[in-house]
Amino acid sequence: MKCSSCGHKNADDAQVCSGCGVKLSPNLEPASENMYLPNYLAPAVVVTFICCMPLGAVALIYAAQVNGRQIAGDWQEARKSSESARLWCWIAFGAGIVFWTFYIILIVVIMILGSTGRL
Amino acid sequence: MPSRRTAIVNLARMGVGLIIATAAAILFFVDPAKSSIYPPCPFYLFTGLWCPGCGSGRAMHALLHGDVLRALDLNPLMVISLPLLGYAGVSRVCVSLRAKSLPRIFTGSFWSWFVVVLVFVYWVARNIDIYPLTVLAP
Repeated sequence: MKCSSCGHKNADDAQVCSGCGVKLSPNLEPASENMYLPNYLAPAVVVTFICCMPLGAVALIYAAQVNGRQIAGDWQEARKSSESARLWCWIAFGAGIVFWTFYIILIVVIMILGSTGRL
Repeated sequence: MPSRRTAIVNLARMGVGLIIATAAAILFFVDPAKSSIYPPCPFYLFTGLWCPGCGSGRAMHALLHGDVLRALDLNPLMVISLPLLGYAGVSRVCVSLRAKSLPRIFTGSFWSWFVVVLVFVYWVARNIDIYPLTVLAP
């Protein structure tokens, strides 16, 4: 059964979508105000803390928009914010990984140069 | 029979678990205050200002050794939010294991904006060099 909320393919007897956690039912409306929509607030806070990037702030703003828009009935806007929040969490996370990788390479190069006495 | 997608998802889950365990082990044995194996905060490196996460590494080291007060001194917001973030993480794991989701707490527009504004205020406040805001700096 394909989840009507996030598109994740689940087993036919699944009660809950393993992709986004929404309850699965064959006759579910494709978009409703009561449907669970992740706001990605927790991961946005985590990437802001760990990656220390202003990029995490973008994820935070999008995450904050989700619930209000959902309550206001702007389902499409709420979903757009949810998707943007998820995207920016990954961008901030990726930027952190890239920075970390460069740092480790730099340290290794300095250590090798130091041990050969060229530094 | 599990599909290839399920296998990849399971592999990713194990990978995430392994990364968290490794990070915790490194943080336990190597104090970020005394070692330079940890990368510096990129925001601090480029701007000279503290970010909301600055001090988290040292605070986690202190927490893993049971020193809650030192952790609170280094990054109070991170330490206070840790139980809530842990709850969010456990809830997410419950959902992906197809069990029932944990009760959702702090839902609604107000709480989302409260958290986001709090992080931004904290970000600015810990860079202001006036007592009592100085206690927020790592």
